[in-house]
Amino acid sequence: MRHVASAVLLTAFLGGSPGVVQALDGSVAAIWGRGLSQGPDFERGLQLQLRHSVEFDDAFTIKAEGRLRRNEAACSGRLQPDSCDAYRENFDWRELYVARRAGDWQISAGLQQVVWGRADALRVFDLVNPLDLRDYVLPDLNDYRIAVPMLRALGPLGEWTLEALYLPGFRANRYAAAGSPFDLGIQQRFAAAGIDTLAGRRPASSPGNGELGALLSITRGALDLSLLAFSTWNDDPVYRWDSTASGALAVRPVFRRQHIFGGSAALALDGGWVLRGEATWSPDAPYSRQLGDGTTRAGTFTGLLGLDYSWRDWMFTTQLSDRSVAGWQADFTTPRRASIATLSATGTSLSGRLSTRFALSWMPQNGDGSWVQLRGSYKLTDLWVAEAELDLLDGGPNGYFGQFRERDRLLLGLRRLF
Amino acid sequence: MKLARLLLSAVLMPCLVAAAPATGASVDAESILSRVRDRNDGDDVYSDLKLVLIDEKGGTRVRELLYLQRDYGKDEKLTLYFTEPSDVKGVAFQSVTYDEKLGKDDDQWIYLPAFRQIRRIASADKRGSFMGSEYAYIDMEKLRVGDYKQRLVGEEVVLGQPCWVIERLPVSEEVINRTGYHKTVVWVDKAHDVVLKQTYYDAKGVQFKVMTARKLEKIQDVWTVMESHMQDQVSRKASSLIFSNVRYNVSLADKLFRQAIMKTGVSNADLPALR
Repeated sequence: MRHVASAVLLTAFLGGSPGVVQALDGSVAAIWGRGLSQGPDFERGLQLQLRHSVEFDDAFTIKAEGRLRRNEAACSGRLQPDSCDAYRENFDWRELYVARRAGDWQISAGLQQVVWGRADALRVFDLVNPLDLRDYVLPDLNDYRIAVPMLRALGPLGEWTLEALYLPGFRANRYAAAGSPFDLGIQQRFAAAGIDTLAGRRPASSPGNGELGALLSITRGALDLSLLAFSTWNDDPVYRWDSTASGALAVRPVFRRQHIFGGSAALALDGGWVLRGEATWSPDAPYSRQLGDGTTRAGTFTGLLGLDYSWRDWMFTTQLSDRSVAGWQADFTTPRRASIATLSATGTSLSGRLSTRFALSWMPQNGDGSWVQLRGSYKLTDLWVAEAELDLLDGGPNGYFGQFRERDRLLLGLRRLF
Repeated sequence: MKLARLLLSAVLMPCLVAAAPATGASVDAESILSRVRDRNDGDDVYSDLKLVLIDEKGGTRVRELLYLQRDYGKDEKLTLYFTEPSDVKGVAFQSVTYDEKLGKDDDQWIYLPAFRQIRRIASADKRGSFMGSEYAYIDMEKLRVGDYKQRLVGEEVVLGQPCWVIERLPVSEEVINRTGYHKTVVWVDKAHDVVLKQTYYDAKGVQFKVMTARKLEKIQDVWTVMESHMQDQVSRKASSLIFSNVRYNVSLADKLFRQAIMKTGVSNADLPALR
């Protein structure tokens, strides 16, 4: 709450300054969610989002967006007491940065989210921000991407557009808390094999440990092209063999620097079709393995092919993505291949009041299973929106989509915009 | 997407235009419509725009946006940037419309702030509703002469202006599939080459939509439709496009038509001479 109070005070302070243009908007929503088949409520609470921008005469802008989530169901039985508090009330900045125009360039510094690529909810090029996986991958990507500190420059380079980033500190993906509906249970899996999990070892905070990336884009008629290079750390840890103080077998989550290079294209075809492709290659992606010290590196190719079709107020999309590990060994804890196919239909009707999305994601290998999502929102008025979402997960007990105790979720909400 | 030149072009542009009065020497329908399309509408134009959605009971919802358009030779680039209300704030559309003689489809992109992602959009189907309004994307587009066979069918007065009345029939199924219209009739202001009224017909020949200009103004020597109204005669819903602060030839910067502007948003600093 102190963050919200700070933002309000900042607004009041700046609002009195001459030559300042500011805007404040946001929403407050009542949200209720539960599994269809079993268990207590997933969610029963409120969500407040505030967006504030202040623009000064000299092209200097401050943008802030904060989100406060209160979930009374967080401590209703699933979570351990030490983690349920953090889930019962949570505040995060969705963005908080200062930007300045310099000719055709914009330079910005602060907590930001940057999305590269053109995929529909799949991450091949979208590599910059880590994820908050408390609700796994079920929300909109934008809702669980974590804003991180970065310096960003965006502007023209001849015919190209360059987006360059420097992220001074590393942040990993944040997994769901133990006992929560989407707990991945990693520590419990090690514990079941008699292996302790030690505290993770993250890269030391120093300028040299920052992440550096660049995206170059150009459009030529019906074709959009992008090239990326990113020196980063793996957002998901690999597990190095170690031992506890008492000499018991243990693993320690560690992070390794890796380099990623890629290209993407989108091509408008006749008849309402758009063909999209993204591909990345990492020569040194880190993996966990059973032999040696428990970690290794391997070249990794990730590709995505997508086809969009527009029909009236609807967009139909199909995508196929595949990740393949070169030099894969049988003791790797990651499968050699991981493929996912998606189908989605997104559209509006009733004069733009009703927005609907149907999405199917299917991972054909290793019992990873499938995920069906139905999502809709109806604008009762310009200010009131009713929302509903149904998620159905299926798959093997260790599969990507099937690993959770509760495999369905219905979420209902009523949102007031302001 | 189709938005791009849509807005200004179709509703505004036809209107926005100034131009040489029609002469008695060339009163065939094709020449009239060619003049509508090719009339001088400046090298670039800026406008504030309100899109009013009116339901069958008369309830209204309003969307506000910035309209930016600039000529690049015979091609045109359009940027639309939504500023109100909060559920569409930050949404941006861009399009490139090519010289009709090239026969190329538009290129179109959309930026949705909720996804922080620019997506290319196909432009072959322009029947979709523009932001939930009764205007289809095709209605926002600059008039294409070659898509129709047209004939002069009469003369009438609209908005106090003597007009040519021209019936237009699509030349192919592709045009019907792209536009959704099996026939249209347009009323073209004789003196200013501006479309002041248009009716739209379905496959059975039934008129189901009518667009009427409600306010015509001369701005910087360019006759401009400042307000137009689209009435769907089946659903009884309607929409209005209301332009204000229209300025021509203001040397809009090239960066306003690059994709990066959709990510950063259009700020007052990008429009120093306008706001």
